[in-house]
Amino acid sequence: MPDKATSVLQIDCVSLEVEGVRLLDQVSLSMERGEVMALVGPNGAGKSTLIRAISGEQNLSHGQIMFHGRPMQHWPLQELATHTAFMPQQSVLEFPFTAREVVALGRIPHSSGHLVDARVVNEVLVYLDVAHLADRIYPRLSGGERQRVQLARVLAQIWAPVEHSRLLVLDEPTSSFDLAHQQLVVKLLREVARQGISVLVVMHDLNLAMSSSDRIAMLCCGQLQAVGRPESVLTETNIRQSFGVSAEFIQDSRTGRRHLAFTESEKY
Amino acid sequence: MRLFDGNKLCWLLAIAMMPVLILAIVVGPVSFSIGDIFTNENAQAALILREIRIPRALLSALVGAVLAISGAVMQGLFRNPLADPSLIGVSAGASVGASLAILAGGYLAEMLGGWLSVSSLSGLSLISIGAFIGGAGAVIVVYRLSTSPYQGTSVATMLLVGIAISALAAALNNLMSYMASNEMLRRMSLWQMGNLDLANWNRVWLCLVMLGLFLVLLRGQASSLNALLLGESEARHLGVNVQTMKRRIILLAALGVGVSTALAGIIAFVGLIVPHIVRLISGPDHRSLLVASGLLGAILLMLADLIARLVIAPAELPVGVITAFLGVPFFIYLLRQTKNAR
Repeated sequence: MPDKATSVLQIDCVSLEVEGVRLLDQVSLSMERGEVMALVGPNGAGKSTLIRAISGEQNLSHGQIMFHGRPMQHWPLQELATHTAFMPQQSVLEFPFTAREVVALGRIPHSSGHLVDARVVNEVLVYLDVAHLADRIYPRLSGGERQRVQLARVLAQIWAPVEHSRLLVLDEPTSSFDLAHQQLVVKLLREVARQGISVLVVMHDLNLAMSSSDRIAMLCCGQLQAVGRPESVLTETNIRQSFGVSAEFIQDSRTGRRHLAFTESEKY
Repeated sequence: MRLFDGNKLCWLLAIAMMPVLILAIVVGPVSFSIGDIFTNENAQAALILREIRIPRALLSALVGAVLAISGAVMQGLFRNPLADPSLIGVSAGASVGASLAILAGGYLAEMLGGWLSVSSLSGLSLISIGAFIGGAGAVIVVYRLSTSPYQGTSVATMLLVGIAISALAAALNNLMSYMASNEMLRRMSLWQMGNLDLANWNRVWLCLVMLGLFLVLLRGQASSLNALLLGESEARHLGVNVQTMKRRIILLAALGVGVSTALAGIIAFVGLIVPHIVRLISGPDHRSLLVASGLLGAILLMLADLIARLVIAPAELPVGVITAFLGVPFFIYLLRQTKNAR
């Protein structure tokens, strides 16, 4: 399988059923090195399920998922953790860690030593604009600040190059971010990808998905509706079929960039 | 904010433990000077020190340490800073085992005409063995019921089963209290209050082995416990084999509480309060939390036992009563502090 071995992530015809309900239906996707792929779709489309399937938390009913040509479940947990990082939608952490300590938890799989860990933690703290919060108690931060700290934690986990190219999976990383920090994430995804890290990111904001990703995968009812370059996936037809809303492209006369505007919902 | 970093706190506590240990040895109905510990001039004094005071001080330190560490790991496992080892039914199961031993032992002794003594099996009483079996049994039942091969151990189910087991244990205890004679009833309730007056060297060694087991086996788990605080899937993503680790921790904590309950009865609040104080001072990092909790637990239980021996000297109060009296107001204060801070 020479062609498959080159893909960082290879999802082969994956189906997943829980208690008789089919949450994923024959989904196939592959991701290459240094590629940003946005996963979009309406609520309940199976986006988070797909991510749980990739992370190995949920057993597949059919198909298989491979990381660098090797099935996910055959990777030793520890080795996998140095190559892949997952950021869940929300993390409940009741214990009074400081923000810096939370970020340092991302270094657990590495045995890189105290000095390297401290340097990486400082770098990601600055990178995500949370350095000023480093010594504050995490549970007392605001929602957006906590999310930034969690993002810093998963970045710290895959900050330095390792044997194989790395994979970052983010489930709605920007849901509590203000506008400036959303733009920070767009910039971050680009820079991370430039370092050879493949990024799979669930996004609800289609404009943000369009401006930050190389390819978009659109899920609906557990099936892959479309996958490809943003302009070929985010068409008015596809959006109407998946989301049930009418969308229209508006071109910005100054920058020449296209934006999506949504007019009405057929459902409500 | 943080008062000390974890390592510094451990050193401070280790240094503070020395004077407390000496105080716990020299203070009592018969007074000694510090010099008496190291000289052997007075044979009676030497005997009291060697056979009563020193084992008692050491046992209270060891039981305090084991209880506090068990509490710290349980709170990590449940990802709830207010969780307590008694939540998973160890104390309840242990008290059933102890009551049963008192009851059965009492009736057996009656039948056999007194030649079978209830309290002599190589320094460990029948009651202790009953308590240990009861406690460990309760944990195994709770763990079996709340673990499925597909979903792993559900913390919520485990708490609920723990509550159910505790309720069942309370009913069994009531039943046995009803059947017991006055003398047995008194022993049962005294045992449930927690007591260190049966301290001897065998108990000290047993507890020391338990503490050693803790230190050796938990040392490598500290980082995994930190990861677990983020959540089970997060810990998994950080390379932790969550199922294996949870099983190990449940067994260790059950063993810890089981052993300390068997040796000293039910001593409430040490497992809850001590890790809480340590977290307030130096944060929740398990790499220092476990050691610091052990040290602080040792200090606090030695002090509590000292108070228990002094308040109505030459008689004694059960030490569990003292820890509860000191622990409850402190716990409420902590709760209010955390609420205000949020």
